Amino acid sequence: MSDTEALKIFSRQYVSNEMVDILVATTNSVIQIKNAPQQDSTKLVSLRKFICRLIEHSNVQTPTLMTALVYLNRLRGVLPGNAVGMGTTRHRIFLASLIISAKTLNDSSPLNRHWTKYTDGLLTNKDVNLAERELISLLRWNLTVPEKELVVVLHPFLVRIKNDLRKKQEAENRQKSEYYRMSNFQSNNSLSSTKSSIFSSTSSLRSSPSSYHNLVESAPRTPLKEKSIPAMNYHGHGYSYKSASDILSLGPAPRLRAN
Amino acid sequence: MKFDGTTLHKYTKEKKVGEGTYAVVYVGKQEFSHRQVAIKEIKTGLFKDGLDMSAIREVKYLKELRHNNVIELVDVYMSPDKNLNLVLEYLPCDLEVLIKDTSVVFKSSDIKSWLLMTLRGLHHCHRNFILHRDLKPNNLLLSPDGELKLADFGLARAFGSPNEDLTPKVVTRWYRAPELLFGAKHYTGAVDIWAVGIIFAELMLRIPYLPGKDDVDQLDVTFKALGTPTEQIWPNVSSLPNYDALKVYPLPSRQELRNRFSAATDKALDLMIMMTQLDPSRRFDTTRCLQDDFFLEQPLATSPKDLPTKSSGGDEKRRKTNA
Repeated sequence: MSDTEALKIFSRQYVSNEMVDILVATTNSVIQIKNAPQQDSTKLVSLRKFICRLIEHSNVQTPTLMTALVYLNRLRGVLPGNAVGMGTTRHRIFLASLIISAKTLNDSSPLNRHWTKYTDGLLTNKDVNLAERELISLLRWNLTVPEKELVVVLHPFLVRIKNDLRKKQEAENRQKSEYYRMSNFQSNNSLSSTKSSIFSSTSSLRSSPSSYHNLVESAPRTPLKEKSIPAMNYHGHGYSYKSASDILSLGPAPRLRAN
Repeated sequence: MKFDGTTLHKYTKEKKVGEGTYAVVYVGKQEFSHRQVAIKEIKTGLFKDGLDMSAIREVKYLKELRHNNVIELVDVYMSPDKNLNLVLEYLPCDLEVLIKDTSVVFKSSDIKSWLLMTLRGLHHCHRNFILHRDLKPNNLLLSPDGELKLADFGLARAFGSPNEDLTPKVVTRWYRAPELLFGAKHYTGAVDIWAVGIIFAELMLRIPYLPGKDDVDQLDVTFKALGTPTEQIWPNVSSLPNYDALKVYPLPSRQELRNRFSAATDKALDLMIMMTQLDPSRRFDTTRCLQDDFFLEQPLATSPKDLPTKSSGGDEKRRKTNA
């Protein structure tokens, strides 16, 4: 299976703890923080809590989060290695990435004043706006996310999806061959019965499809597989994705834009 | 291309040429090259909400889309007062100005040329998975050498999956496709094709084809001209949020359309009909439009440099002869 297909599956997944893990780790790796005085750090909510709260309040979906992840990665490459931030720098950086990602991808995105509210008083509206501006300038307005970059950033997730699907495919194949073996056995039986009973040819004819039917009914179902296949092939048109953010701009837009 | 603060003093704003709800447009010059440019300064009235979403998208998509029939983004910078400025190639005229100027004669080959350039620009957007969502004559700009360019990507967005919700509140009313009028949250490039079809009609009529007075009237005007969509011609149409068939108008007959568009050839009419199919899944896509026989039929499209144009300020018309 290709990375593109794995990406499509991944983009439909619900936001998971593992995604939060990688967001936290990446944000932490963007910049180092000078140790704040004790009383300050007790007030400061942990980055993980902060991120979880933003996700909860904004109902932001996987594609938007993962685009933010790409921006965080880019920022790490842009900032000088010896850059040092203060207590809330990482929080600001994360929020700014998320805002820009949401604004570029979704038709109905929370406004900055809503985002400010979601920080629970940690940041002011001015802080949020400033962080957004600084980030977009540091990224030099390069907001397009090519598929290649996504594949690199999301590598661990994609590998697992590909492995899972391969295993499922193998199990399916085993089941299929088993099924054919058994149905051959059955139809051979019914064929021989046709030969033997000359007078009741119609009934035996009816009996062979019905035994076939029974077999299908008794075969274990694999609903997961059935669901995943149409999802994978949904994009039946002959285009290839130029920009992976296009793939990622999925997911129901959570809330209406309050004008 | 540089996108940073050091470009701050590289442009001069000379004259205000337009003002919209969210931006002021100036004509200016790039200082080192003396190139004439348009500078779109985004108003920061809504500063509470940070950078304007339309501006971010316009920058993002114009950076992705490089095409002869799409306006060129030259630069982006923030002015000292913290306003965001988009530097765009300067295009002095647009199709709306020409359509309204009754002293300019359109030949059928001119219309063909504008339609062709619009479709080429749009094809480039769609094959890069970008919906324009605000096509209208006013957003089809004309360069001094006659090239038509798609502009104003403030409503544009990426598409790609049937899972996502899209807002139906897009496209200027007169050019809004029926699925948008019905409030569809899932739609495709067909909404842009519809708009181009309506623009095509307007180029032939020289007046807006479906000028609804308000959103309700727009439904009435649209269906009076093109028929009310029913389950029969558009399966599942009645499940759209705002579906409403209070008045059922019949589909127009070929003869009725012929009477309305008396100068159109059969091929022109055929293409227009396929671009304005009520059911979006039956509407032609850009590829199919571009391959249409209409573009092979004589007279062929006028070459851009021979098209009529005028600069929106003065009134010097460029076509020397109407031969």
